[in-house]
Amino acid sequence: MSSHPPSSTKHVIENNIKSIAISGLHRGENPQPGPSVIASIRRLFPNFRIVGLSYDPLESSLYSEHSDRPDIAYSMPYPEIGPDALLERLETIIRKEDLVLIIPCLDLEIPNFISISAKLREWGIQCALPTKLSLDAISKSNLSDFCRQLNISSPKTKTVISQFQLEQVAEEIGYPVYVKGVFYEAQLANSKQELIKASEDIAKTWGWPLLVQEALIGEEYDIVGLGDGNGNVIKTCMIRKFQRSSTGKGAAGIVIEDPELERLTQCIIGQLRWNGPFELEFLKAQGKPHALFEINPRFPAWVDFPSQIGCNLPGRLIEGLLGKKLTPLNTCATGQMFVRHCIDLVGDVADIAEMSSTGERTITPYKIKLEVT
Amino acid sequence: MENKVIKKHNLQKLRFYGDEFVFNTVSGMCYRITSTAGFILRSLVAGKKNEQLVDLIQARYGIDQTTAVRDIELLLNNLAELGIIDKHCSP
Repeated sequence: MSSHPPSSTKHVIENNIKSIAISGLHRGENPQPGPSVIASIRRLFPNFRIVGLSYDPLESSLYSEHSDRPDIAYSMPYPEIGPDALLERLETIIRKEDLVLIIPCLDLEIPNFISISAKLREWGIQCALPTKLSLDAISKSNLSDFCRQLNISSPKTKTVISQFQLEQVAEEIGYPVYVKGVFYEAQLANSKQELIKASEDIAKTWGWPLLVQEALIGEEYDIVGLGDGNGNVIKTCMIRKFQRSSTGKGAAGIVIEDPELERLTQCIIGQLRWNGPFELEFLKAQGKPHALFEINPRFPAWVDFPSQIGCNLPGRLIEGLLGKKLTPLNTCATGQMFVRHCIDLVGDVADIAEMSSTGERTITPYKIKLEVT
Repeated sequence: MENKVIKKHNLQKLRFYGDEFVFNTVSGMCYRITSTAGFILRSLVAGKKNEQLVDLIQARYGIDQTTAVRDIELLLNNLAELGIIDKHCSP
């Protein structure tokens, strides 16, 4: 992208350059959506300044030379610390940036952003968020009940608070089962030994309670979309994940057009009156109905794929929130596909030092110096 | 041959790439198939009835009617098992 605005803070303030803040900036083994959202935004709005909200100086897009990098990154307090710390940090950032919009891209952040949404509105910062009620309804521990109400199939899931209960529930559901953290991480357990190891691993990072979920075997179908908050779906792109990493992340996906998945999406989003981005994840075993196993309250890491084929959902979100003219969204053509591709980015330890010591870093793409002899 | 009907709309979801590759636009599944299977599937998409398929296969491969009926039946069962086609018994 050639038309990035200059990124010095002084220049930004003096020239009234508008900024959009994005989080979830790491593209690694478990890619986060931020870089994909940034790339999508730049396709439609090359002149917006992109502010990265960063939780780690090693987040990969801080080293990118491509359109998926922020112009500047600010270190952020971890979401677990709570909404007050988030608000305080944003207060510092808006003294330096003319922030007009935030797109949180990590599940854990969403409750904090809902808590501070009134303050954001007061500051003139737009942010599309679901209601607390909708978010609670789709939490991993409540999803099963939500699906039952809508007569939608879903894997049996139970919340457990102790090792004893974990083993009891796993026996009840029957192996294999998934052990999941309330927010992140899932491990497949085929036996009691694997169950204990998985629970220890996950609880070490995410703590108790844990979830035990029936392991469904089948094809995975994912839908990314935008809800308007009134029960309508603005647009979706649906794919079959036809290559999955060992952790279940989609390494390749192909566009499909399934009327049944469309019906289910309308039903779910309509019931939740969902506002903003979402990702629905279904599993389908042959001869059985689609089973909803997760709803993510944000864009997925593959969201730049539909953007590249004419369905720019982050772009539409911005147009809607900022009252801009709406660009038509194409229906993604069946058979179009993506394959995830990893590359090595070049950085310097000085970059880490800057971010660690000052809490912010202007991102300058690394230029390869060629010496001619 | 058992009287089975493959509904036309169930075949519209299939997209062919040459004679040996088919993509199901609803399930997102891709299949490598033999050229004979491709020929039969294309014929079904073109609206041929099962009885007509027997004549077509006999003419194309020079086989007797019993073999043609059996092979088509086996293939349709295979395709249905794989979810490439939905097969419904007619009343």
